[in-house]
Amino acid sequence: MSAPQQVTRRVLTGVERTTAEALEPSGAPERRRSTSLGTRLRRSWQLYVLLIPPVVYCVLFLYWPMYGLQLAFKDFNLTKGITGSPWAGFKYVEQFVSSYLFWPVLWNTIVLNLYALVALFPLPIILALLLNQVRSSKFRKTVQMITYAPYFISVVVLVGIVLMLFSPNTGIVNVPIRELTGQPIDFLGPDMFRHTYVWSGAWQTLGYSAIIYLAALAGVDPELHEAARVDGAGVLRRMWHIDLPSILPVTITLLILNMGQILTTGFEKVLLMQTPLNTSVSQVIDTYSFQVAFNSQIPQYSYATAIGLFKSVISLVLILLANWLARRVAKQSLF
Amino acid sequence: MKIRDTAGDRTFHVVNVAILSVFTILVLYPLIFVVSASFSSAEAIANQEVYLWPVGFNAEAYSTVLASPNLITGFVNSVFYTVVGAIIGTVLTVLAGYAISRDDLPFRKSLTFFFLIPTLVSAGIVPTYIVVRQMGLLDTRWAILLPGAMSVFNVIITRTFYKMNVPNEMLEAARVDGASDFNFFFRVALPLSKPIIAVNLLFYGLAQWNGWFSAFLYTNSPDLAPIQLVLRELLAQSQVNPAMIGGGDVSEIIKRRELFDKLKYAMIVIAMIPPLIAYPFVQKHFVKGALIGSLK
Amino acid sequence: MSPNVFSSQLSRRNLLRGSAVGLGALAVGPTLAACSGGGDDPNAPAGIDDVPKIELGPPRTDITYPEGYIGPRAHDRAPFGDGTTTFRVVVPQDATNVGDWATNATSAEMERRTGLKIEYVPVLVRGTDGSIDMTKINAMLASGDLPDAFLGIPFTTAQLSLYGQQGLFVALDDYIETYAPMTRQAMAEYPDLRGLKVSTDNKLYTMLGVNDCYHCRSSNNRAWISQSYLDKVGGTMPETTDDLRELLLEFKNQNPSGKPGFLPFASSESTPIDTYFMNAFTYNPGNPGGNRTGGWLRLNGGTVEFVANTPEWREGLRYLHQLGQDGTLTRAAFSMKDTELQQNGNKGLVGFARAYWWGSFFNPINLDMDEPWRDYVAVPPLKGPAGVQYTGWDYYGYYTDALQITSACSNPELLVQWTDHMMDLEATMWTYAGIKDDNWSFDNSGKGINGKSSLFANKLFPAPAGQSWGQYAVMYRSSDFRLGEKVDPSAPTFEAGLYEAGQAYEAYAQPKEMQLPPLIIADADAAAVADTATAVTAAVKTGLAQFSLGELDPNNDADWQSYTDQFTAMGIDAYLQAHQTAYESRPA
Repeated sequence: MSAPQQVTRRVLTGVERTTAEALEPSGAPERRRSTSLGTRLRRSWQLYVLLIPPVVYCVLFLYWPMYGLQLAFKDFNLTKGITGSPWAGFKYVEQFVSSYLFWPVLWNTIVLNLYALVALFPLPIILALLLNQVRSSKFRKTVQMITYAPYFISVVVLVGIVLMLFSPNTGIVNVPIRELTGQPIDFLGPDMFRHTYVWSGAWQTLGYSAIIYLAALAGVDPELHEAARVDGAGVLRRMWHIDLPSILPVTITLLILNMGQILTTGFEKVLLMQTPLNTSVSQVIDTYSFQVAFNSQIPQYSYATAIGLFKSVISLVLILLANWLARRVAKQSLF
Repeated sequence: MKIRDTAGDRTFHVVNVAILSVFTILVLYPLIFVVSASFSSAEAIANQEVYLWPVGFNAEAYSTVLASPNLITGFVNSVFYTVVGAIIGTVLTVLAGYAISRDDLPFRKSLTFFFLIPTLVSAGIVPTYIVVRQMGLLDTRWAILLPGAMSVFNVIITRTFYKMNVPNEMLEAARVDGASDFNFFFRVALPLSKPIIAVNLLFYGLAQWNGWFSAFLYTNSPDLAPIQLVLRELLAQSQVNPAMIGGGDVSEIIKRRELFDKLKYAMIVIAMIPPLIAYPFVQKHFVKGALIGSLK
Repeated sequence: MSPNVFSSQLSRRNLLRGSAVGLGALAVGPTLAACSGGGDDPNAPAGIDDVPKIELGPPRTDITYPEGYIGPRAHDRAPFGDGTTTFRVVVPQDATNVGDWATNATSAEMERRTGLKIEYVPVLVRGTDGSIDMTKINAMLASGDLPDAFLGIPFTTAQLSLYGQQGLFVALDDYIETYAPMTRQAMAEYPDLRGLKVSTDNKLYTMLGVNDCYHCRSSNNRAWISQSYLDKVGGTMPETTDDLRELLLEFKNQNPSGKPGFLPFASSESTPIDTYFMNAFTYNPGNPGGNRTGGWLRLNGGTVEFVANTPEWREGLRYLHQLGQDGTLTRAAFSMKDTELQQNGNKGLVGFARAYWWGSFFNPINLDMDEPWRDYVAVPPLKGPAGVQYTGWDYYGYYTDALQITSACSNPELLVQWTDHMMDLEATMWTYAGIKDDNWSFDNSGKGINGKSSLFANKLFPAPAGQSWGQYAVMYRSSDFRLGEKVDPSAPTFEAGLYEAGQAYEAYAQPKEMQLPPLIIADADAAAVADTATAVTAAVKTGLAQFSLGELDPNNDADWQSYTDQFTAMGIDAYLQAHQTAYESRPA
């Protein structure tokens, strides 16, 4: 028992080292510390040349429009334009925070997204790890292909299929349930809405989300596995000690990025699944913002922008927090 | 050298195949339903008679689709946007992802943050529209390709890949041989990043293939519309319920509803085919050890 | 005054009687006075200086009109445009009916009739759930990307008012006075019309169209029952709430369909049930406008009041609670999506339905005489225990989205005339029914929907793609016009059936002065009102379901108290006040 353990550990150090370097290392190589910033800038000019196209793109298409964020603090007037409209202060942010549905809507958003994150984040990783161990390449490719296909079904049709299968009165899922228990399950009811939302999402995106991990697993040296097998390490053990660490950087990157989206929901899908019975759990920030800002008599740009800005600030805090946590716990971080 | 599987490993492989098979069947069922429904009669679908195989088999939906000039134009447009969008997006992403993956790049943390901010703060539809208009892109193909051309998500993931797969030692060694950053990037880093390039091409291609919003917002000409926008229009018109329109001429509602019900499933099938055809080309880069192999 | 305007004034009494039986003399007085006294009104539009007022000539004589007909007539009007300028007009995108606007047959016909060249800019204005999606229009407006005009775009009256006063849209009263005789005729024949679209500064920033759909006035209140199932359980048409309760129990116990999953009562999530049931307890307008206008608001002697927290509402909830306890009103009535309801209908699982029309619970549906939908008949309003029996009748729903001219347009008078020519009888037929003598013709050989002699006959409605403009044109489709469509007695259309159904409801219409007319909320209040409206809508709908299904008990004072208290917390007082102010300050 002890020999394989040792070997595995030896193999592992190799993996762990690259892993640790993959994200932001705690200290850049000492050698460069001593060179002055000017020298380093000069030395890296070619890298900056590479950066020109993406940075120009970001400035033009992502940063330039951000001047519109001032709308959150203005009373928008169409003819005066964004810059010419009069200032309104924090009126709209205050209105959102003090609105009757603020807390329930915030709560619903966080619960729904946390549930989705906890349930859906590990699954593509597991799927990728399992697929990676399949020996028959025909079987592996077939499974990959089939599980990836639902990604191309539009949300409207997806919700249509869900309703058809799970309808309390005529859905084929509910027919046996009603036979057995006498009471059909209302899959869009307040008790079930979150499950239906999350797991139909799992069905649709699992195969697609696994792609990124499959790509990461392609970077694992098969010799590591061979060596571990020679030393008698079982397959689960090898997955745990070789495969998992090698996709850890990607995992952490995605996890941190996902934390930034915790207030954002599949808006269209929620709207399509909303019924008067489930609004107590299904009303989320995005649907609320849409209903208030764009279903009112006059589109409320300022209000919508204020809600969006509120989301941005919270997301920023969360992503910084996640980054800090990742650095503390996993010794890795994005920046 | 062939090593025999242990009993534990054999069990694992059996269980593994079983789990994946069950999962695949769960995913497969609705897909089969969609395909079957696309070949079934509208009455059979409306009466929920279709469970697994087509009922009232016919290919009328497909012939209607193929006879619709809008859908054909949309399909061709989408192929164009997909290919060009995938290339533009991947080039931008790989450039940015590689550069900020380099530990010796001054201000790399600030740059990462610079790229990250737009994922958190979205400027909103109206200001973006104004900017696209000011650049003179309205009603051009560029307005469909450019506003969503690069995803910061992908940049960050690509960065992570480079950090993992192009270790510092390799760079040091190349430096000793006198390679410049350009040399290293094109000769070493790019060949090493086939899987992530494949993933980027796939992700950007799919985003364009599934996309409709830019086309909806920034273009008016029907000649520019991608297939998803054509579909969306069909769908939107079919969902109008009589209470929503003032005139309430119900015959109009029926016509739209019938058309959509008839085409719905066939359109999903048709829209699904190109991404499925493209997938194996991407998939072949995911073979175990493909990356390491290319090093030797 | 031209002869036909005069004759139409004489027969206005007919129109009013025909469309509003419950109307009190009080309401008739002012409208008539306001109209006939138009000439002396200091606020009356002056017209455009130094331009002779355009009048309609005598109508063409080759068309026979039904007796007492009020509405558009056909005139020979000469083209006025010389084709030198091309106007950019934003229109809704609609491949199913209109196809390509540029090559559409009606587009060509309009150019022939007017001589005006138009460049159509199609924009998608519907979301995937069919609701209005103005994202792109809003972006165009906000970025200053203005066309010459918008046609058939669903702006709210509040938007017209605000943007008009900000200078985005051109005020049209004077142009109409000078250039638009057909519009003036429509305004005279529909005295409320201008008031429905006028802005808070008493100016009109839009042209006016009419699509007076008789059955739409009761569309939120209709219910249907299967005659054969009714016969099978030996029941009679229910007249009171108690009758209905018993009948639903019979349905439940006997299951006349003989199939599992039979629904004694069915409705879908998009068709609220309160408009049908609550009107047996108190007048309830429901929430027809979504969040755009306040839901469950009505007028009581000029005071705006909220109906969903009244004692009568509680009585209504007690009744629905009983149905819930009986097991005849189930969750499905609140949560079923439209397609689910249709699937249930197709399978013959629907006994009694609260729905807009047969197509709400049958899909596909066609006009064959043996189609199952023909078995379903309209159930007139129920009489409640206290003798209340209303239909929420919509007196104001006949205006259309019409056309708005923007400040970017250099010759508004040309587009005003273009619009006015569109309202001529023959042009209106073209825009909505397509090519003349191909898809429709003038035809007085049969009976119209209303039983008088017919005016025209349609071959296919909607017209084949590429022929018509759907219903996006500025139409003048008066009630008499619509009901003048020839009926084929061997296969009556839905419109004919809905007309009959509508008649069963009209007798119970609430007095006009109880209905809150469409209001424009002040811009400063709009965000807060939208906030409250969203909360109120959710609370009323959820409360209705919870009280009905037994999750809350209307007999329990604490449940009722917390239900009513939440409205206070949402700011219902300020909300009502905003509506009251808007009501009182609306232009007379």
